[in-house]
Amino acid sequence: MKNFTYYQPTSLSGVLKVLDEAAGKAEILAGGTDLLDRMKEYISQPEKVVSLVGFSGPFKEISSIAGHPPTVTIGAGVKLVNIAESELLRPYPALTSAAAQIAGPQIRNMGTLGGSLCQRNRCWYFRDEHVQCLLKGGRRCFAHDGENQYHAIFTQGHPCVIVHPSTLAPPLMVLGATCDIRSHKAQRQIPIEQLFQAPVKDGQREHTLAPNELLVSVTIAPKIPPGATLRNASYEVKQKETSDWPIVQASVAYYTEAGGQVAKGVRIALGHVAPTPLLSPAAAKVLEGQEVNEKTASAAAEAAVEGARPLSQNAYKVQQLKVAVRRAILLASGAKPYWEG
Amino acid sequence: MELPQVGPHEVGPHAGLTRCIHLQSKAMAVYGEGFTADPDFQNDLTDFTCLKTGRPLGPDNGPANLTQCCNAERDCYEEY
Ligand SMILES: Cc1cc2nc3c(=O)[nH]c(=O)nc-3n(C[C@H](O)[C@H](O)[C@H](O)COP(=O)(O)OP(=O)(O)OC[C@H]3O[C@@H](n4cnc5c(N)ncnc54)[C@H](O)[C@@H]3O)c2cc1C
Repeated sequence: MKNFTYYQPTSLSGVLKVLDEAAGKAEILAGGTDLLDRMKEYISQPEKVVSLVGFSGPFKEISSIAGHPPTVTIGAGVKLVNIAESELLRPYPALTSAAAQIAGPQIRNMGTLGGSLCQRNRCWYFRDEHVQCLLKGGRRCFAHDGENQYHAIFTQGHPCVIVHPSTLAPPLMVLGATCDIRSHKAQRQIPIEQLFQAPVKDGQREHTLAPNELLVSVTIAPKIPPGATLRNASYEVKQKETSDWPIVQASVAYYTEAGGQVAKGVRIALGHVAPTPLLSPAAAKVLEGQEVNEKTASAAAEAAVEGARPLSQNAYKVQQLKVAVRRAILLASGAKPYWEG
Repeated sequence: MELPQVGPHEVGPHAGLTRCIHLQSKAMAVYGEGFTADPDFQNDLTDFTCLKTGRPLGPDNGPANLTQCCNAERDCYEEY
């Protein structure tokens, strides 16, 4: 690991000041479950590491879950385990079930919301210290012609075919979340889908934060009319059920009006299939105004994979994505789950 | 590794609580009720699985672990 200077400010303004002065040469350290790995592997070599540990306790804005459903704010420093088990977040199983499935207990006890959303991708070429891929100043993406079984299937226009690694991003997208972002001199709010970008060169991240910006919190505020019921769920297809990222993921949210069965305000997001988490307006449109059942869920699933351009080794993910979308929709509807036959 | 055998839930914050019959972990499979002597369990590192879903989530989509699966108010809870 390259030597670095460690900062442990005791206030939010202290963090923002160090980030501002570091001019892109600093990394924020939350739980460290992603950053420390990268530093040990020489993938990231920050000159300064700014820890959030020093102020996470007393500063509620970054370390607490607060509000009244349907509007709930989750601090970026909230641990994954606390998202999974939060009473306040119980109306959002799309999010809590995704958090409960991340890695294993060790990572969930250390990893944070901010770290999950801002973690770097898991492409094995990117994570190999000896490979100079596009994102590390090289001239090509080796996954295009190489080992790409876990890479993107929505590849059109993407010179780098990583998949975005956060499983919290798709549920937050369907739940209409916004991000509170702060720097030393400014504060801005953006819809969470604008937090992500497809990186194409060295220095670019999978998120759109400037180097001097900190993600402070994420607010869930699904748009549902009074009296309507929010329905939401996520579904992940995984190679193994623990300690790994999913192969594909789908999150869905919609509401039904009192006494009605028709899905309205449908939002469907896809994870681990593109360099960013993807909203699928095509799938949402198919379900909008329909009663949710096997037939309509399958039709939405077909629509979700429209435009997929798999690579040489990952066409199987197209079928898995259909399964994930269909099962997420049926889970959200409360239909009998697949494991009950 | 030989683990000392202890009775059901004799240690930890779950002592005395009755868990759901569908909760499972590797140590439970190997040591039965002696799972509480497993060092992983004692360090809060156990990966639990719901036997109904085969996943770290119960049928109600909530987390499958010893704290959450001792909650008899969960719809999917079935007494051990
Ligand atoms: C075996 C394994 C399996 C995993 N499976 C999954 C999975 O299924 N789904 C999933 O989503 N994740 C998965 N992860 C990743 C895990 O979720 C992340 O490692 C964790 O969430 C990172 O959080 P952290 O607090 O430790 O972040 P850190 O390692 O501290 O930080 C990660 C990055 O985010 C930046 N950062 C952190 N907080 C902020 C902030 N507030 N504002 C701006 N930037 C910030 C840091 O600068 C750093 O670059 C897995 C990890 C492992 C090791």
